[in-house]
Amino acid sequence: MNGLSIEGVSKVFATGKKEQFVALDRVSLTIQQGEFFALLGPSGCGKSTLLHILAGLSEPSQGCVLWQGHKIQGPGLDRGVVFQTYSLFPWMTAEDNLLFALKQKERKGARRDHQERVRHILDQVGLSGSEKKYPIQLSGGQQQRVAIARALLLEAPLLLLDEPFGALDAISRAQLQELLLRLWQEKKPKPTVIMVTHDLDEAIYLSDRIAVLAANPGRITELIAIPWARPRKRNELLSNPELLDIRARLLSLLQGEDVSGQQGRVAGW
Amino acid sequence: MVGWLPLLLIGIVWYITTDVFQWLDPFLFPGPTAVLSIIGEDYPFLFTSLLSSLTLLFVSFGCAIVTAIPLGLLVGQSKRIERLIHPFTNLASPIPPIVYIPYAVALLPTFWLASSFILYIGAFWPIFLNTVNGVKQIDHRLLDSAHTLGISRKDWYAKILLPGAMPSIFSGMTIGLVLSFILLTAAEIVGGSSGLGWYVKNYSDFGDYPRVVSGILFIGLVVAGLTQIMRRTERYVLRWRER
Repeated sequence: MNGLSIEGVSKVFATGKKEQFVALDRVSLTIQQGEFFALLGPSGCGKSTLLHILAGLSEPSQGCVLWQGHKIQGPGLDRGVVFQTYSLFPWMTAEDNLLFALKQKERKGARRDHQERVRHILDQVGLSGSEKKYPIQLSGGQQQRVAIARALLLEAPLLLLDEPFGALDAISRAQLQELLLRLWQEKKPKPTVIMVTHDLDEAIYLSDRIAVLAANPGRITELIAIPWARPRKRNELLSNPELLDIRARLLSLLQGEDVSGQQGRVAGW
Repeated sequence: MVGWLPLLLIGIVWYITTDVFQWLDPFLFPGPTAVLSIIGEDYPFLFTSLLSSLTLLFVSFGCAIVTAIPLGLLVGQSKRIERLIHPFTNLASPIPPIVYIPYAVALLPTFWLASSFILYIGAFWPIFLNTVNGVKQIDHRLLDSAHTLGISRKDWYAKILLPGAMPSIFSGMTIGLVLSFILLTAAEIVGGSSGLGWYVKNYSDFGDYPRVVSGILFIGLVVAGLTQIMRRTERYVLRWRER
């Protein structure tokens, strides 16, 4: 089987001797190969927990995840991960961060060949000239460019993005969304992308499908396909009635969750 | 430049109270002219003493670095190992290394071995404890990021844990170096037959206070030089923290 299949995944954290927090409650989902998929939800809905499970950084309490027919057990280089912050090692320059990652994947590769590929990808993300800079000397947007470059450099067929643009200002955010889309579409075959976000416009603009998650316990409440041909034009989002309907629907789903969350807390008294 | 002003002032006061007006007892308080001429005259001997001291210092400090850092990395990354050895480190690390001196002298065949053992202990604990802490302080998101790259065991220690803990390791090494130097001079005063501590002790036995003061000043210069080298190295190694 191709693609990714999440089968009845639950994640429970012990918060005290007897209390526990259900971060994910029997989540099932199938994602096609080459699909751009968004996990959208308010904070605490378990979307990042799910991504960590996909990355192999934590194990589900129940259920399992199959990627191209194999069960995910631990992290691996077949999945490229970009976090909101702290993806890069601060003690390595931009270039060294990429060289280091590449060396983990291809231990026997020639250094010169590696260097050329690193320069090439840094150029593609618009960072030629900053190769020798340390992460602290780069802006937040530039750091995320390097992190994306690292994920793409490893040619992983599955990209896991955990709110990659969450810490950026609106302008850098839009620029990086374009960059990500362009690089994703250029790749042949297109990698599967799973992106965690709480920004619904970002989810609509980028994704083929969106899973809306709700908190307490974390679960998928709705799956929505985005019927919008690529290449997409950003301003169409505000003029296309079909997309506006979807946006309104997503907004009510997200806000509805806030209300029921409060009710839950009142009921808990 | 302004930073040198207090030093200059103290020098002037020293000069006035001794060489110029001789307000202080010239036997116990030699003036700068006497001290400087002694340093000028005795510097070959001061330097052989320094060489003897530094050999002892660098051997012990070096041994402390190459054992404390790997052990610290190993302990810092595993809660289980840390819990296991915690009672021991808790008990052993606060013991002032000086109290080992008589026992070390009784156990080990030569003065040199005994004092290098004491210096080693003195440098080991600050480096070890700071390495453990440094590893524990590495942001878990960085460790997650490292895990996703499927890092080899060797690179995990050398390229992630070591540089990640390096800021803390440097504080440990600086404390360890100063402490080692204190222990070094103490050991030389107690039982040495060479070195800077011995130089000061030896001439004070003869009541040669110009040489005693020269020795003390010289030791001050050496420690200042060593810490300066340490600071430069730190700034270079941790250059990734500077914007």
